[in-house]
Amino acid sequence: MAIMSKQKTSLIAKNISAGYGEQIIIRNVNLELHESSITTIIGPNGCGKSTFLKSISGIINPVEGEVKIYGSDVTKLNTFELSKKGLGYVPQSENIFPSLSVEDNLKMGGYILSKYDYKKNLDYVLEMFPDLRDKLTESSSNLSGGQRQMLALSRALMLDPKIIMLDEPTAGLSPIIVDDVLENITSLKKSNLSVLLVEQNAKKALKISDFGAVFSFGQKVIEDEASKILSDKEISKLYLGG
Amino acid sequence: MKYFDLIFENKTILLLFWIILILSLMKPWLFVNGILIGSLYALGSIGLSLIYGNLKFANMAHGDFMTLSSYLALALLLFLFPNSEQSASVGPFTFKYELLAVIPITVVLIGLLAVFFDKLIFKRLRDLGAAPAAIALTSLGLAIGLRGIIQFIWGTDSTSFPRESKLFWDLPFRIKVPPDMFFCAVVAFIIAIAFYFVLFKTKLGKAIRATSDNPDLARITGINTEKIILYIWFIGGILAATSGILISVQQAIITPVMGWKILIPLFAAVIVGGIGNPIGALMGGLLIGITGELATGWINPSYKPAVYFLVLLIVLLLRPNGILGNKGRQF
Repeated sequence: MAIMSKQKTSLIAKNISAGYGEQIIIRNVNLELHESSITTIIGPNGCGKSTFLKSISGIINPVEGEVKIYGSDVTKLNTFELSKKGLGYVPQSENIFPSLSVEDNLKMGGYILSKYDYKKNLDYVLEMFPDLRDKLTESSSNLSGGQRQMLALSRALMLDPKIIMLDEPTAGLSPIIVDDVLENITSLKKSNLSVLLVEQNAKKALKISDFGAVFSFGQKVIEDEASKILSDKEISKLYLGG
Repeated sequence: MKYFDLIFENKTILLLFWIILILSLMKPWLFVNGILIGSLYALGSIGLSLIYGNLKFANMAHGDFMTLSSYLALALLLFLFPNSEQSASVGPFTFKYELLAVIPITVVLIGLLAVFFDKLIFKRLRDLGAAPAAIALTSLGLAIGLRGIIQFIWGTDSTSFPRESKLFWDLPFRIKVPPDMFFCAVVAFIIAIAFYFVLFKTKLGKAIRATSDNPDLARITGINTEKIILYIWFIGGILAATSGILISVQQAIITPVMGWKILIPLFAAVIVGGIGNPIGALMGGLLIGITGELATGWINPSYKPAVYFLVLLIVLLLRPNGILGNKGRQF
């Protein structure tokens, strides 16, 4: 059952079943995202969190179900068309173009923009991530893990999305960098964005989230306000490491 | 400068470099020939590498696209300019002015034909999720089919563009260069530079490289990768057609198997340079051309293919991913 929110619904995923080839990984998953809010999906490895994001972004086609962005059915759209509908996605790994410079990565992020909009959005993301400004001409393959995540997030923000999905943005980062990345994600709420976050750092992620969902064996088993999930002792024991 | 640094970072590659340099000083005319021939190999291998870098399969039909372009250029020349046999040749070169008018038309037609074959065959295979090996074998089938069509239409005998015999240029150090060879090399270098400019300085080129790096990520950012793939086939077709016609001009002969035969040094150049890397393909083409020509100073020219593979073997033993292979996918 969907949870109630005062904010406008930005994305509805209804009865999504998806997988790879014959193998179905997620079954009948429902989820709603709301404006200016962060929703975090947690769950054990292999429970279908990343598969869910891939099915929303069109990288894999759902075998069943529908996806709506602000009421418009986008289920059958190609991945590249979804970005025009305001959906941004940062995959867990290989989320930058290593053969391109930092600036060219951002250029590709704004591939469909006019020159004016590209310049405007570039200024916006560089204001948000000032560390990238000094590295614009450098090869993106030389960036550190944290800088790569910043670049990946900036690239996704170049199109000024209404919804952004982040797949484990803190994976492999040192604790200090994790806090920086989560702080950046929190700041996205100010821009009226809906953020869908998949995280292994479950407690930290839920602390900055408005809503949470728990996946297990390819299904959504719990959905509630993030604070309630965090304070639930049973959920904490089962999914948050006690 | 980073590419020169690469030569000096490995002692064995440095030794290879010195051997080539010493042999070149002993017979400089062979070195010059090697550069001129290598430039055409480079052009052909850049096209081959472009397809591999993005679509991840070895396009076995590349050589037959080269052959087809030569026959098509000849057919267009004879159709549009039936009296071209009698017309004047261009300056010191053997070919006629009319050929210069026909080359751009042919090149564009072959580019469009490559796009057509992608829509007809390769896109369907991609959509079905065919393995790269299966797609490569299909391209082999296309190569054989194209050769059959060429032989059916134009016969199995060799032919050539209308030409007029011209004297070689006599240069210092016993270097004798056929003017056509010089012309072809200059055109090849200009096109290679233009291609480099497109790939590294334009939005389209960057989108091609982004698609090569990670097609899913490219789609996520809003790039229509299927459209990019059509551009890749078009550019690949243009590069194959240009190198095919230039090789026919340079060698003064067109045969139905010319493209197929040249596929060996082209693949060697692509692998030596580092699969999927345009600068690598350029370096590989030149290296294969220079070593192949230098070898003819001491051994029978019919052993040239063996020399290509010896170079390939040495380079791969030293750098398993090719000269620039460790730099990742560059297209």
